[in-house]
Amino acid sequence: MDIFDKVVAGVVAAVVGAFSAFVFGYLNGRIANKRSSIIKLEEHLTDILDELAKSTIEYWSVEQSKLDNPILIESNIKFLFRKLEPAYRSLSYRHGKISAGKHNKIKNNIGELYDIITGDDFEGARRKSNVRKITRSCGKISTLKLDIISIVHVD
Amino acid sequence: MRINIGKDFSDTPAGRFRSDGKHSGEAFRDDLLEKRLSEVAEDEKLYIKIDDVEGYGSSFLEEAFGGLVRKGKYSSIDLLNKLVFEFEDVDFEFYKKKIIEYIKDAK
Repeated sequence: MDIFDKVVAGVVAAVVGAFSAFVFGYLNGRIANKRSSIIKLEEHLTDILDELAKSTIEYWSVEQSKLDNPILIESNIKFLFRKLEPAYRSLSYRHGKISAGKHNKIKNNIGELYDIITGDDFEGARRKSNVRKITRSCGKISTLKLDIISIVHVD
Repeated sequence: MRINIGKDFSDTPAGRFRSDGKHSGEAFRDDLLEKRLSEVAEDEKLYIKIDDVEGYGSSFLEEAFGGLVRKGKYSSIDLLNKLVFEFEDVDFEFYKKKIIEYIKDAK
């Protein structure tokens, strides 16, 4: 091998090495970005669920006439539900590997939670307090939080 | 034939019965939905835009849509064949699914 061939081989090796390092760094960055956005979505979802639990307890623990401003809590509950399912949909899309069984379980639980909290005499002028709604919805919220945490940190 | 719930009825629909307020599910069903449905020709559909509102409670949606079936005005199949739900805001996909569920489950 003459000196020219050695120089060419060296340059090629350097270029290949640099390119490999670039690709490795790029892929690593993408994986880290994806992980970071999944964690942010998980936090967003658990924040919505925590807020929903708080509002549910505040709303269903007393009858309508005893609340100072029921419309405020009702609007907040409706707003949280408007954000809950789309937030889960974003997490599911970003994660990309949620099993069909767990995905359906979470979606069903969100739907059932909506029926429990905003069903029956929700926004009713003569609404009564309902402790059963509180226990059922808080149970569902705990299940949802556990499922979401397990998707992000275990599955 | 079209209904935009937010513009033709209220952007803050709330409650199940008239006694709960003037923008209840019962008021929507009896004063607007049923009337428009009766004006829709056999081969036409009623398009309902659902996303110009702040959100819905299940009490409103169940009474408005499931109530039509419960009261014997339509069968679930006939009603689902007659209605088309529209939205631009994807957040409202959830409500479309719930409305369809309430119509199917109404007895």
